[in-house]
Amino acid sequence: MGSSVEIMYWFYLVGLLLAVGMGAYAAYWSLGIGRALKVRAYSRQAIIVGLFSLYGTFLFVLFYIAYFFAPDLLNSPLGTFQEALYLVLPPFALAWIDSSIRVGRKTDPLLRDPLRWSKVRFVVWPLLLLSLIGFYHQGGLNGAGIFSFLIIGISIVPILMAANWSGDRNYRRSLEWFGFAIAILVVQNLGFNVLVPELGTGIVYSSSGFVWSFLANFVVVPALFYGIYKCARSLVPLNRISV
Amino acid sequence: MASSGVPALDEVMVDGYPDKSAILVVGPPGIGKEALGYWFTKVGLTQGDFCLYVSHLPVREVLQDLKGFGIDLQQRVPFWLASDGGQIKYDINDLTAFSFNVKEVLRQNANRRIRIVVDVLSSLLMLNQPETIYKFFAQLLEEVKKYDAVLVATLEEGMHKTEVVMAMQQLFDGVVELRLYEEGLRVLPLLRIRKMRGSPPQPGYFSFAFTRTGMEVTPYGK
Repeated sequence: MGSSVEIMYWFYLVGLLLAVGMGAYAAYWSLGIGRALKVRAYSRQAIIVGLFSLYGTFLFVLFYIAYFFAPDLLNSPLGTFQEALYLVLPPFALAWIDSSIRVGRKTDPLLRDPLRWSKVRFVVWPLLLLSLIGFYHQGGLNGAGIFSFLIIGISIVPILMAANWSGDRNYRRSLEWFGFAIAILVVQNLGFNVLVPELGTGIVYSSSGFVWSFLANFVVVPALFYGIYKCARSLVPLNRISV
Repeated sequence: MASSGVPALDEVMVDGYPDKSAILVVGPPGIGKEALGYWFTKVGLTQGDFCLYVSHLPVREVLQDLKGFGIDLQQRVPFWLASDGGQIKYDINDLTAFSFNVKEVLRQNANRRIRIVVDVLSSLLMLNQPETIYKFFAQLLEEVKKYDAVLVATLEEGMHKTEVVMAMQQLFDGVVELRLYEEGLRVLPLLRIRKMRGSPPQPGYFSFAFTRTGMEVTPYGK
């Protein structure tokens, strides 16, 4: 193995460790805040953010290994497993939306129920789960993704209403950061697949692979986990002990 | 003295909340401020005190929340002034009716020991000018103290300007603060008695946790 390739491997390894470290750090704070909060609705919201961070880290590691180190793995059970992991994203997103709307209602002085979410959620949840199962069998993973993301997209409307009605500035700030993280995730997963058609073909050895990897590891992924970290930290004011 | 319903907290405050006092519990959403109101109500009901609970939530939601904290009122229920399901309907837009109803309930139970929990302060502050609510509460607390009554109110941190929170704290005889603190990489829920009528200032922090049997409060040592 030539020395330039060795340097690139080290570069990728540093990127991988950086992303894993940031993801774990964001998850640590989210879960810590979730554990410290005593009211179930608030605690659940923070824990979902923490689990989302762990999920994002895990997904990234698989993505990274498969695309940059061992493209052959994409055609192996690991590749199928990685694709199946995308199926978890819509229920994750809906769980976060659901918990956030309920928190938002608690902080609305008029206790408004955006688009009757307290009732609509009993339709949206089964619809989402059924669509995932149905499309997995009939239309493949892509179909499942499109339909479930459509449901998630529609569910964003009540959360925007809840944010508008809520009197809690922390809550709004937390939603903004999570929205930022979701946008980055979409860019990472969809944008890169469109923009970098040679992904998964062993571009670890090419110069363009180096550029895209640099963008992914040192710009996009840190931005994603920074968004999740800020989202968790914004859920509730954290003070410092003064003696 | 009126027991807070949390023996460890009573110890910290030397036997509980002072008689004829108004206590403010301040903290961020989700930390469990309401639990102090629940335990305060529960012990009052057990002792045969008259308990008035004012909430902007429907009664069923408050009862669900009580369950979440593992609190069982055991068939004894407070007198509800709530948005739905209570003896008197609470209308957040009608301050006059709110004041009248509280005064009327106090008058009707003047010969009993009274406990009042008010969980509407933040929502009132969000919908009205802070000056209006300040004056309104100043008058209400003055009225409450004419009776053998102790009032506990909750106030959300992070929803109002700091000066508004500070001004509201001035109205109350005691302020209990529940907050999340970060110490290194740890997130700690801590309690602090900011002030309590008849007690010297307490600079110390206390760790607290909710268990199935109640609330545990232990001194926090750095």
